[in-house]
Amino acid sequence: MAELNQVLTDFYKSPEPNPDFASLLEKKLAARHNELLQFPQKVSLRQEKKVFWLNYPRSRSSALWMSIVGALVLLLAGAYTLARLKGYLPGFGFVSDAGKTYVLSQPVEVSRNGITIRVEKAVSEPTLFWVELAITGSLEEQDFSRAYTLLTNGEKTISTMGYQNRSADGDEQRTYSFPALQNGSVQVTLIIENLGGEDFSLPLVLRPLTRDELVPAQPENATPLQSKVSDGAFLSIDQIAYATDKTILQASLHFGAPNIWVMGQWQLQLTGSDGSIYPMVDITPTASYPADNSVRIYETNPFKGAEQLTFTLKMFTRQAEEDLPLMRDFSADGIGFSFDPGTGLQAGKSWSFDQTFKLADMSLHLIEARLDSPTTITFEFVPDGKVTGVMLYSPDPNLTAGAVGPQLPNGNLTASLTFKTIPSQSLEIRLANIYYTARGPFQISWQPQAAPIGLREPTATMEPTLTPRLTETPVSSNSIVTETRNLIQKFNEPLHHGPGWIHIQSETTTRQAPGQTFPPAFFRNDQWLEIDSAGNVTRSVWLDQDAEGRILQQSATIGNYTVNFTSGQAGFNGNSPYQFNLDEMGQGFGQPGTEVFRQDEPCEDGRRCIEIIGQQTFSQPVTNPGEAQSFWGAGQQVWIDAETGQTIEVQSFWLLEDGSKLINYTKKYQVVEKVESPPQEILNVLKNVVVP
Amino acid sequence: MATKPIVIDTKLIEKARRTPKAFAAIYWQYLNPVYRYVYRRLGNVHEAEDITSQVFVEALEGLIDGRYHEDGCFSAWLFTIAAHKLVDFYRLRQPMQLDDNHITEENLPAVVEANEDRRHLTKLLAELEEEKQELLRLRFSAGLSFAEIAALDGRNEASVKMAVYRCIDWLREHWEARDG
Repeated sequence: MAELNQVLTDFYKSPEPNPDFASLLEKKLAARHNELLQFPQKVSLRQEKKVFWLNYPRSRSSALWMSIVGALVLLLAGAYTLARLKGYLPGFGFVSDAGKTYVLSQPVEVSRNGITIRVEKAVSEPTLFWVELAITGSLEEQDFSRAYTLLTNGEKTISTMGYQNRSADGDEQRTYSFPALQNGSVQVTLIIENLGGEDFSLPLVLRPLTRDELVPAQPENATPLQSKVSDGAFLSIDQIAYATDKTILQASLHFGAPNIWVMGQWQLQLTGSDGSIYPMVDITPTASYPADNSVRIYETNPFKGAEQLTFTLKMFTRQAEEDLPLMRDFSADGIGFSFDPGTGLQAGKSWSFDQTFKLADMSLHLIEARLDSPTTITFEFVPDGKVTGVMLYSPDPNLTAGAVGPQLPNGNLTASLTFKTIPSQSLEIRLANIYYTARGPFQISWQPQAAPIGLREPTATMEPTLTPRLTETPVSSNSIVTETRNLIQKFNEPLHHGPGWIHIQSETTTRQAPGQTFPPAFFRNDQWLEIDSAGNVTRSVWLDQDAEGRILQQSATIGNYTVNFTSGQAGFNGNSPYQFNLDEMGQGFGQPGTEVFRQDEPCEDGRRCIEIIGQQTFSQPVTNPGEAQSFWGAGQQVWIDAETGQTIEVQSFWLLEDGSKLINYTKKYQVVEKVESPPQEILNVLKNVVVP
Repeated sequence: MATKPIVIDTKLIEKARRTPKAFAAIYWQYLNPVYRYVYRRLGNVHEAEDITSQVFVEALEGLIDGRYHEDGCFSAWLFTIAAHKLVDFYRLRQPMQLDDNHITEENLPAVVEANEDRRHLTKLLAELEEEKQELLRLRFSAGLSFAEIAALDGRNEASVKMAVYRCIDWLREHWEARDG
């Protein structure tokens, strides 16, 4: 009889999914992804990447470490004091006491069995020891390695936090944080255990930080910059460092109580009194800052010292909002109630309650519970003004899920609990998380100091700096696709002749899936693109409005620098200069397995149009979460003016089991025109963008 | 029995919100574990494919919609979705008997022996409580680490580890008893 281990492995590691299924599902996901991205987030910028892992001690001890023969005496002799000097250390963040900060003396590299580890940076300061390393070689996809520090006295400490970024070719950048080293330690061994099956040992020698490595922060006794306090929450600017070519800021959010988190990504916007928008590029380093999303470091321009500026907290949400969405974890507080559902339950049964819960300065009034399905009970609460959601929990072992339910039309909140089977005995139910908003705006007025000598003037214009490229046109072997794309290019080509401006206006209608809040059912989009004499787009303004003309999103791009006026995000988007290309036939039309049909029919306004349909079908119907109907295929249909080649309309659809199409969104082009200049308001928007 | 937890590139998750290609990379990393885990709960290829599809569609929508937070544990989040999908599925039907070996004449002797072992194993597994079977599926089919299972289950890592080891000890004891 085979070994148990082998039989267990064979049993649990099989079967593999059918390759055809796997491939089709990938395509289906890509199609769904494209649908979801149809409402454009114009700014594609760096967002916080605070994913981290925690390391857990293992019983296995490392047998490998190397003693260091360091130049300790020489190093100490060369040190000098930077008493209580604070400042920004590039790549690491702000250090609170430069005199007690040590950095790597020289890079250290170790290779074994085709894997090379190179330590480029290390920082030891009073609160932590941080190291950054590059790993090249034949790394496995899956990683079991652990990192330790080993001091000369034999003290071995495992890392508390780590980050890794792996490139497409498999190389990695990693950072590790450890508890602070013993006071004054300048030699330490970094041990990486079980990386690709090998143990690595890297002797690191540290030296004192020198003054010229630091961008000094403003004096500690400067007036603290702080917003108003709302529901316990406030924004503060904790550190500011002035260099000749940039200003570095550290901002943080405070909540006045523990166990509170911001729900979503936040961003700071910096505006001048004349409405100008200053760059705020997020440069928060990984690993050396808390992973709780509460601290950010930004780089902005140098200043003259006379500017009257305002920081405004923005959420990277779909609409301009001034409030701060927060979640407070009350699960350790044991607030809750007992509930006996009884026996012989049937879906639809309800129970009445009249119980009020006080949670810090918030309150919730429980009024009803309903059995929504044989295993799910939904509870209904009347909230106070600022509570927006409730998550419940039960220690009952039958519990399988808890969910924050939708808000009811009368403003009441719901929360559901799902059980394997509804227990017949009394249940303990606890209020775990409360979601609420702190009322904004959160703003700070600020007059910066003048930058040190050599101030570089910010500019409001910028030429593209990257090599122009041709706009990519997907290649297809399908003759219908090729012919149609040629017709589309006939429309696009005259628009490339600059200089001038292209104005595009479209209206998009989206089917609202259950629970969908974004994109909205309807929005109008206006794009203004400036074309240079070479036909490249150099500047653009993007505006989304709802049916009542309210701005949903506005952004502007100059060269490859973009500011989203709605979310406050700003930064370089990595795009090369490109040519305008109105082609709604996506990559899917040229993919293997896509069926393409063409039919000639008049458009809505009577023009002679070509309708191109591209669709893929699946091996079996699929039902998306919350959807009542299954679909067995997805596709896109595009209407193009048969004479001019102008795209008139595009729809995405699902093929339902009964053979009908379910239209998910429709985008109609109202205007595509070339003009000499845009309205003054568009030029004003661009004028307000201060390019770094 | 070694199991290797997936380490996902943190940048990849961020990219996956914006590009189908990046999400596809995550998809290919997790497809086998998710499929195996679902299959071991259902015992039916077609239904496993259906649930696997639903899991990834919901994960995609959740990522774009911001329902996954960067400081979370991606594996635990993904397998929570899978567990919920299975719970929904169980409302409608009971799982079929596991029997998935495809036998050809060429490998018949080896398969007969393997099938005897597997039948014995499935019989032993059936004697374990559902909670313990689920732990083994999460550990060995899904390939989750103890920490990830702990995050998913809301337990502490040490208790998960101990529970898994106890299951294996129990299996080994009864497996060897059959040998003896």
